[in-house]
Amino acid sequence: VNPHPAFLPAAAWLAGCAVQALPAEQLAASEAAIARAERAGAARYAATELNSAKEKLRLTHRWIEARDYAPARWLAEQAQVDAELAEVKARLRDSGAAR
Amino acid sequence: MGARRRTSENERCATTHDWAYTMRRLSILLLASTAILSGCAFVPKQNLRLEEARAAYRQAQADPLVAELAGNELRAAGEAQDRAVAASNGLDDPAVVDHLAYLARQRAVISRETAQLIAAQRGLIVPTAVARR
Repeated sequence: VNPHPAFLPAAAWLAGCAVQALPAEQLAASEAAIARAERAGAARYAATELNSAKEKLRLTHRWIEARDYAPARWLAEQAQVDAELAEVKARLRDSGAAR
Repeated sequence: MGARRRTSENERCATTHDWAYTMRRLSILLLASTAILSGCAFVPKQNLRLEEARAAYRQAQADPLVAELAGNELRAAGEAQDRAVAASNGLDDPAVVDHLAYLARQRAVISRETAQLIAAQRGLIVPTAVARR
């Protein structure tokens, strides 16, 4: 009845995959959003949101190093929306300052 | 003899009335206690972040400028809102609900700011100017 020991690592690996995987795509999306926000002048016009996004991205990396991918994913998702908000705020304030 | 029967009928009526009255009171009490108990059991606890997200989304939805100029962002905000509400109704971990509600609130704010940005870029200031177009 007992499974062959050789299956155990494979089963554990599969279980790990199903429950939490490295949020690589999400991480790339968050980094891209932060880069866009910086190009839009968020450091000057929406520093609060940009800093929040960067801090969350930093914490994402810490959780990835600890191989705990669920909080890593949450933080990366929050970093992305913070960065998107920083970008649009920066663009809005930039356009307001220009006129 | 007729008088005696009437008296006993009156007595029977009185006891029946008392019994019905008691039962009615009991059933009302039972209903009330059931309502209170089920209320405790099934109404999910109010989530502060979810309420914030709801308020932000309602505000974005109520602004015709947002629907007109930032439809995609408003749709994304609505989907994020639905996910947060579903997690809350599904009695998910409150931390998950908080997280999804945070995303929903930010998306709602993004939709409003995007609408303002596009309005500014097009030189629109008054929302009615959009409605007239």
